[in-house]
Amino acid sequence: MAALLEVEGVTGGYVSSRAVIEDISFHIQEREIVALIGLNGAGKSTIIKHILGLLEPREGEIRIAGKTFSGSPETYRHTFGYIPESPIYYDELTLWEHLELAAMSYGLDKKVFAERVQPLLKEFRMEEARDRFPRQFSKGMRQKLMIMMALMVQPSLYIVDEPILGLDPLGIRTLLTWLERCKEQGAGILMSTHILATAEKYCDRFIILHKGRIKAQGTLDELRRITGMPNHSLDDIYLHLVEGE
Amino acid sequence: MMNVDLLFRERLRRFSKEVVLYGQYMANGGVLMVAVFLTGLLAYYYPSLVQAIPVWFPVPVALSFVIALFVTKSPHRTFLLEADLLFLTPAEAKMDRYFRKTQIYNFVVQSIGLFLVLLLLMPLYKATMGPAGAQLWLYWGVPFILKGWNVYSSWITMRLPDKNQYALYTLVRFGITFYLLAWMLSEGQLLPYGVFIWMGLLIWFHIRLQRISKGHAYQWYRLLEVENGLRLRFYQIANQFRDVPSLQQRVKSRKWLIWTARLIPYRKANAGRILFLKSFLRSGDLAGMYIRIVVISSLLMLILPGVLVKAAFALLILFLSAIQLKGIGSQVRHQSRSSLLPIDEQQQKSAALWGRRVLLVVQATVHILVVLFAVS
Repeated sequence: MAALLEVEGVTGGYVSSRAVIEDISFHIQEREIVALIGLNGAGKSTIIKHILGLLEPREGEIRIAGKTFSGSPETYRHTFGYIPESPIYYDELTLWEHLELAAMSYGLDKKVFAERVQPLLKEFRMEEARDRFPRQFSKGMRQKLMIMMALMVQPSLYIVDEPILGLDPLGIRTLLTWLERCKEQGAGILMSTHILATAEKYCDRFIILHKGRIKAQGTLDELRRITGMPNHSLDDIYLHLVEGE
Repeated sequence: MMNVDLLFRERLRRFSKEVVLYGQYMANGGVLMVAVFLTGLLAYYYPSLVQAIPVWFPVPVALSFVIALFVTKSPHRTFLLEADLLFLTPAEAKMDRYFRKTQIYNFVVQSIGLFLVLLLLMPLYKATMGPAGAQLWLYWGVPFILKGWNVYSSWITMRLPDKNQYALYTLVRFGITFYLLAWMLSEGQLLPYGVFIWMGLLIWFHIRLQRISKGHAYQWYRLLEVENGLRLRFYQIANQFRDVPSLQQRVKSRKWLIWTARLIPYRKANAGRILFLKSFLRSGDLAGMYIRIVVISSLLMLILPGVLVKAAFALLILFLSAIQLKGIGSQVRHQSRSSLLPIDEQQQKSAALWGRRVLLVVQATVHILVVLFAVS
């Protein structure tokens, strides 16, 4: 079975003289949540931009469901759901219209849209905002709009960039339960974060990134074995790994 | 120490530079010719328009009403910037001096507009009332005094945190202004003893003003909102002649129009069209411009003589609209938004083409209906 996402030996960045990320390799299978962990500036967002096809790798290859961006640029971006760190939206569309247009442009049936949209609105407690414009929203509400748009399409792969910042506690819980549900239904999720307690609780595997390179990756048990810290939390292991330099 | 005088001079300089810059483009544009043409048309029809006024029509009251509208409307430009909320609010006490200068600026600029309105209404006033001597001096003097008073008092009511209350005070201001003008223009004929009530109202109003200026601080967010709105309007006008880079599009919800977009059936292929149409209908400037063109040209077509002239005019407007609308498809979309939905460039382009056609067909249909109505 091919992995949902394969990143193989990717080196890249914004200018050719300086690589921000070097020799990055990992993969995401069905039914798993993988955390991408790193300090500010470690290269998390750069990796995500490469996966989205917004940056071109200088070396290596990225495949989603076996396809590269350069191989099929029109359809590549429709094969995953992306929740950006800073929300992007149309000023001219209301919350409801965003959801409807997302469903429409991804080719969802109108009936399917109607079925999926109500529970989303309800669980993220955005029913009252349905006819308002995102410009009047708080950061957290805009974040919820992004999340709802991605969740409604139900892709097999989710790329989630710092989802927790700006969300209220109930929103965080709803998001994580939804992602777990998606995982149980067979989706793979890559989530970048630096909230380690949450990552430890919800993620199956961890990719620890430091200064553009992967320091270690694996399940919590594997990380414990590598570092020789059998009873420690992800927090301790992470600090041990990055402070060693 | 902050020098607010210097700050005001700097801000005013920056704004006048923009006015000069865009003023040049406006003067060069063909729209100036249209304005001259319309003025000529108006001058031609004015006398017959004045003649057509029936005897029973209360000219002084109507005149006062129109003048009072312009006198009462006192938008406050303050030249504030977003960052001022952070940097100037600590110097709030010193800002009084700054705001006094902006008030003088507003008075001067608005007086110019008022002067033009008075000039425009002068022939009407002269022809119907036949004023002379002191009465004429009053006509040219009192509105400006009232303008000054309106600028002063509306500035104080801007301190009210409640917008509804502000609207109420604006209404009272209008009442005070309107009554004095009507009383003056009718040479004391209109409710002669009302003047005493008017004085009482004025005194009461000033007591309230005192209380407001003591009880409330500047509403910085509101001031900024008003400033941004006025600045935007200036840019929107300038944008008709030249692309203004700093123009931030304001989105309007336009509930009365948006139902048309719901007529497009739910289908994957229609996503681009729906996006285009909704963006267009809610855009502040584009849709506004289009609707104005359709309405104004329809009205002009009613006035124009003969079916052939009407048809030629309609064709001309259709041509102009087609040129104007050509720009909207190529409007620069925010780069990052293009990755939000899987609507590719090709789909967006064909949607814009479709949208332009629909708008032109709608315009042509309206014009045909107008001609049919005028002929029958």
